[in-house]
This record gives sequence, C-alpha cells and structure tokens, in this order.
Amino acid sequence: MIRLTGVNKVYRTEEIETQALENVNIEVQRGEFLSIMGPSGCGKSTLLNIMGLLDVPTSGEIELCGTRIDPGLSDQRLAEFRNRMLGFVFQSFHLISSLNVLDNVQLPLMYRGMGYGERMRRAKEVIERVGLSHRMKHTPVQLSGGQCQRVAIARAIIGNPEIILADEPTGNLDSKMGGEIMALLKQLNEEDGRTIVMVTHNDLQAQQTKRIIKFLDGRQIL
Amino acid sequence: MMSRFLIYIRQAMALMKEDKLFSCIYVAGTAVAIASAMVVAIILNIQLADIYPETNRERILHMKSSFYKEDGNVGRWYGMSPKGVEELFGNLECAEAVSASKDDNLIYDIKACAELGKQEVTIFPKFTDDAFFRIYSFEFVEGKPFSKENMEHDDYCIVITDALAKKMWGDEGEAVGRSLLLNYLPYRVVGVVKEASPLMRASSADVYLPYTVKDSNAQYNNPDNPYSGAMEVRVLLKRGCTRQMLVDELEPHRNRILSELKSTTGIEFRWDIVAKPYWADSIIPFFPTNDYSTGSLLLNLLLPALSMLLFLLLPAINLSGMVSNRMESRVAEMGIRKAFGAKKRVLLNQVIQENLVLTLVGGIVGYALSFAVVKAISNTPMFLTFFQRDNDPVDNVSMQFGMFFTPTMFLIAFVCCAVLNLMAALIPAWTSLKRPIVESLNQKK
Ligand SMILES: Nc1ncnc2c1ncn2[C@@H]1O[C@H](COP(=O)(O)OP(=O)(O)OP(=O)(O)O)[C@@H](O)[C@H]1O
Ligand SMILES: [Mg+2]
Repeated sequence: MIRLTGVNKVYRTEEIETQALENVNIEVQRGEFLSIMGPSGCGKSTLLNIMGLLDVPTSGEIELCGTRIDPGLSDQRLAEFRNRMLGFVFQSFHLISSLNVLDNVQLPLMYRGMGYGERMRRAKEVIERVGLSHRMKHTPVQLSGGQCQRVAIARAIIGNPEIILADEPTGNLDSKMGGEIMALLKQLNEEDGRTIVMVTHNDLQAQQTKRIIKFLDGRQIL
Repeated sequence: MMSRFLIYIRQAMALMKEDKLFSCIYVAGTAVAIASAMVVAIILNIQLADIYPETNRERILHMKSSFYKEDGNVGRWYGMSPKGVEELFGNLECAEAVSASKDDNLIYDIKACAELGKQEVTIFPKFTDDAFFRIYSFEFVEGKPFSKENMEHDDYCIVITDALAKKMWGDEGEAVGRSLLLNYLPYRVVGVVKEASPLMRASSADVYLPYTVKDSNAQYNNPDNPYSGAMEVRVLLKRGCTRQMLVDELEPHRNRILSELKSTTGIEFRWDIVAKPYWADSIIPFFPTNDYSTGSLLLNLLLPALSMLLFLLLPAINLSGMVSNRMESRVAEMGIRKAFGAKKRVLLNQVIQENLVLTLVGGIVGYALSFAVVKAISNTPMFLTFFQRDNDPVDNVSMQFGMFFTPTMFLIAFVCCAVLNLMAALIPAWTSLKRPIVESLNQKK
C-alpha cells in the first residue's frame, strides 16, 4: 500500500544542515495499523508528511497504492492524490475555525467537485459515525479537544481514502479522550479495513496497533 | 460552481464578521478607489451616451464649414449663411433632418423677464430652426416647436424650458400663449420643453429662438461670399447611412457652389467641409486629429481610461498590503485545504472570489459616492470645463438618472471592481499560496 525506498530528507538552513531522514525503507501492507515511535525530533512527522505527499523527500522513491509518485508531479496531480487516497489527522486538529463542523467535514468532497446535497448527506453520515450529530452547526471553538479530533477523523474518512495518516492524534488530549480516539481508529482499521499509520509517544496505544516501528535520529532502528 | 460561490460568499461574510476593522477599512479604501474611477466614467458617459434629449447621438453629425481665399491674403470664414445651408444641404438622400443654428451668444447678454419691472434673469439662447426639434428628441410639456412658416414670417415665437417657465410664471398655469420679454422685446411662447441638462452642450439652452429673428445676427453673411455666415449645421443621418455617404453626397454640391462663386465674384475660394461625429465636439480631445473613425475615438478615450486605471492602481497598492497581512493569518487554513486536496488554482480562485465580495460591497458604496461627488461638484467651473460650459451662464446643473445609472455604467463599475480586486489580491494571494504545505500547517496563528 505504501512503499518508501531509500528516502532521505535534509533540511538546509543558512548555518546548519539537518538530516531529518536517512535512507528510510518502509513498506506498509493494505489493512495494516502501524505505529511509529521515537524521541522528539527524530523525524517522525517528516516521515509522515512525506508519506502523505505534504512534503517532498530530498531523494528516494515513494509508491502509494501501487503508483510511483514522480517527484516532478504537478500541484494538480498531487492534490488529486491527497484528495482521493489520503486522510490526515493532526495533533492540533487543524480544523478551519471559521467553518462549522459540517462544512469542515465536507471539505475533501468539495475539492472533488461533488454536488452540495450529496456532500452534506455524506458529511452527516460520518459525523454520526464519530458521535457528533448533535454538534453539526458548532464551530471548532465551541468544541472540546476530543470533539475536535472526532471532527478531524470524520473529515479524514469522508472521502473513503485507503490510507489514514495520524500524527500524534491523541497528543493534545487527556487519557480518557485519547482512549476514545484510539478506539475509533481501531474500529476504522478493523471494520473498514483502512490502512493507518500513526505517530505516537504513548506505549500503551502503540501496543494496540499491529506493528511498531521505532526511529532514532532519522533512522529506523526497529 | 454556483454553490461553491455561495460558500465563498458565506465564508467572506464570516471573515467580515471576524475582522470588522479590516473589512471596514478595506471597504472604505475600495469605495474611494471606485468612486474616483467612476467620476471619470460618469463624465465620459455624459459626453458620449444617449441622454435626453440627445438620444440619437450615433447618427448626429456636426458640420464644420470654412472658406479660405486662395489669393494669398489671409482670410478665413467659419460657418455658413442660411443660403449656403439651403443650397448645400437642401436635398440630401442620407439626411433625415438638417438643422442650422447659432450656438454662441458672444454678442451680448440676453435678459428675460415676464413683464417690465419683474425679475430679470440672464438666459442662454439658441438661435435655431424647426428641424432642430427633429434632430433632438425634446419632450414637449406644452405646445409644440415653432414651424417653418413661423420662420418664413419672421415670427417672434420661442420655445422655452419648463425650468424657465417656472421661474417666470411660477405655477400660474400654461406658459404657451404668454409673451416673454427678451431684452425688452416681446416673444410669444409656442412650446415648453422639459429642460435639457446644461451638460448636453449641443442641445441645451433656456430659450430656443428662430434664427430668423432680427436680434440673432445669425443671418449675417460675408459680402464677398453669400454662402459663408454664422450658422452651424447639424445633420441627423437616416438609419443605415454613414458619415462617408454624406460626405460623398455633398461633394458635387460643394463643387457646383465653388464654381458658381468663382464666376460671380471672380475670387478663388477653398472650402473645407468636415463632418464631425457628435463625440468630436463633446470629448476633450487629447489627440486632436481630423480622423473621426471609431479607432480615433478609442485613442482619445485612452487617457481617461488610463486615469481610471491610475485611480484604481494607487489604492490597490495599499489594499494589496492589507490582503497580504490578511493572508498571513490564513496561511494555516490554506495549508489545511491543500492537505485535503485543494489545488492551488482553486484556492487562488477562492481567495480572489472571497475578496471580490468585499470589493463589490466597496464598489456599491463607491458607485453611490461617485454620484454624490458629481452632484456636489456639478456647478463648479472645473467640472463644467469637461462639457465646455464653463463660460456660459449656467446656474443650475440639472442631471438625469441616465447620466449615472445605466447597464453600461453598472458594467463599468463591475469591471473596475474586478480589476481593482485582481490588482489588490492576486499577488498577495499567490505569494501566500506558494508556500509549502508543511510550513503553512505549522504556522502559528
Ligand atoms: N522546516 C524545517 N526546517 C529545518 N529543520 C526542520 C524543519 N522541519 C523539521 N526540521 C528538523 O527535522 C528534524 C525532524 O523533525 P520532525 O518534526 O520530523 O520530528 P518529530 O519526530 O516529529 O518530533 P516530535 O516528536 O517533537 O514531533 C528535527 O530535528 C527538526 O528540527
Ligand atoms: Mg512530530
């Protein structure tokens, strides 16, 4: 489903050069629930962003759902890939504060050019799925952290992507809410068969996933 | 598409509520820009559009005649005598109406009063003929134009404006049949027209008199040349006829008259007849030329168009800075949208359309403002210069709806908004959208 071959990422600023990823080779199978662990600054987010086509590697190859991602791909094609194959869940939710829950959730479908009625119908469905039917017209500031993350998950799955990438999805939540979010992700993996890659600092949560990869200083160590 | 636009409007409304100060300043800035551009547009509109009573402007030609003596002596005579008008324009295939009039009143002031001892007002006269009222579409509130017979009999009859009638007799009922004193000579009022705005220079006057009345000096003619005189001729072309057709039709008549002149006076004359389209006399020519094609008109409109662009550009620079700041606070939002599949081009459209909502609000305010500004300055000599009325006794500049609000003007206002919007939003939006997604997402709000 996801294959990274010889991926390097180097950040160059005026003074220093940071090797955020060094020769990373990872293969993720369809239906896997993979967690990535490692100390702060070891390159976990960088890795996830590259997998999610939000960032480009300095060198190396990426393959998603059997398609090799050409480094020279246009903004349009990349946008389509992200829209159809990928769903993101971020630590800080990244909801659009001026839009209500419904409009936030339907966003990926809007960029697919789907009609308004159909978008709203599907958005209501997934919002119900994450248990927020009673909050559809609320804006993000009127929601708790856990509720925000549910909205984010609804947004990640509304387009039926094969892959969900979650960067510390419970990092800003207390353990009870974190547990609920974990349960939701597990359900998406087990019931819908979605491939999930999750970055986490939480051992307990990592243990609930099917495979754990550990990173140190940009290299995979386990 | 439509629903997406509605979402943008909603989003724009939300953003407006979110940042009221920004929105107010932005709308105010836009309004000033649009207002200044629209003042220029309104001036051009009055100069060029079909406005009462000049509703056939496309078909109206202003004929300029000038005679030169070719004997080495400097001598030049503008204008024609009634005889000249009759012989040159008497029977034309392509003319629907030919009118001769004497526009200027350089000789002396004319004072009008209802009766001796009553209030006197200085009026602007036009010495003309019955055909004048066929070229311009005057609305007669009372009575009718003076006739050919009136002119043949040298009748002292006049057509006056409703505004003058009101000044003279208030609401004392009909003006037709009364007599009005012009420089203490009585004239019979035969018609009252709805006033033409003084800005309609070709047609406006307070009193229309037959040029046959003795005071007019209109019938002056050159002792050497019975065809030259003080009259100016306007021609209303028949529908489907062109300026060139008229010029071609005049040529044999011109030659005939010239040879006749030579045989009767022994003097060799040169005679230039120029058929100017109405606009050549109404716009301020920046590139004076004898070319009266549409291309030449457009060339002459270049300078006002550039000034409009400049009026938009200067505020656009400031507005662009504001949009840039605003985009800064929306970087994260743009990153999120990209992460979920928005193409840069789509986001650029979104930002520009959202901004357009604000610009249009400013545009509406600005359009209204331009109306108010023109109303406020309409009596100033500076404004009257654009209509070549700064030297005439104009005391009240009446204006019509059609000078400000027409579909064309709305379109121009909209185009101004669109141009201003692009100038203000395109560069900052594009710069902001070019940023890498990860960088945008990590941007702290
Ligand atoms: N835009 C950037 N410019 C320069 N260096 C960067 C940039 N982004 C990340 N880095 C560096 O790359 C390394 C990896 O960063 P990354 O965010 O992937 O770490 P992480 O494992 O996700 O850490 P955390 O657990 O704290 O989220 C870090 O040393 C970081 O300083
Ligand atoms: Mg990280």
